[in-house]
Amino acid sequence: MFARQQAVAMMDIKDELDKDNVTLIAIGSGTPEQAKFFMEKYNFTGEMYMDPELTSYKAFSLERGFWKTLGPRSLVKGMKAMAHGFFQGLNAGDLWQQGGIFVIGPGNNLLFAYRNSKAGFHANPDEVIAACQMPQDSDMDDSEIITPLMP
Amino acid sequence: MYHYFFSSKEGQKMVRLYQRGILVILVVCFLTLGCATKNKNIETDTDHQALFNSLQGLTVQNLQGEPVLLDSLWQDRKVVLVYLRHYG
Repeated sequence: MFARQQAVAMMDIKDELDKDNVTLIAIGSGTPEQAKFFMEKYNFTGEMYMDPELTSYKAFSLERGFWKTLGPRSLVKGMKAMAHGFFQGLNAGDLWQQGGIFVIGPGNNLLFAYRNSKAGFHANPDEVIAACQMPQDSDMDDSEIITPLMP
Repeated sequence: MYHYFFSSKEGQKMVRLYQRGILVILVVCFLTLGCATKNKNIETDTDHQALFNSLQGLTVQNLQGEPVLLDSLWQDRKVVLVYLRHYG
């Protein structure tokens, strides 16, 4: 249900991203068929890729674990998500793997990084947009990029 | 004997000192943990370099099941890369 919620949240800002010439890409851990079904069902029009072996999830140091998915705070988030109409479907990928959002490019420029600490803890879309709108030749001191604090 | 010691003035003074010591240790621990947590959220240039080095050569699959080099996705453009939990 949280992946659905995250996909819908990203689609809500897609117009803004298109305006800023930023491409929306999603990576999931299921099969191509599951990804296509997901895209159709939630009108996800960004690019979609799969990493069923989770190698890039590990490289990005994304969280994984039983309690990260079914901890008490995630259960509360789950109830809130259900109240907004997002229900849990059949497992289509790695259930214990958590997600995250990164704004990268062009080239190896990491502009924003958010690793979901637990299921249901997502990045603030406004912060994602702000990172996308940073100028190409940013005057930002890139010796330190501060990732948003976990909620 | 212990009862006598702790009920004496000196004994109570020692207990108070002991409690204060514990409190100071706890405050120091909390401050250290707080700083450690804060630092965890700061990524340095070196971290980025290590991250992009670890991504080199990694592939993901496109919808046709073909391998695509992960870092080729952002070489010529800015992207929002969303890692989903699963498709359920």
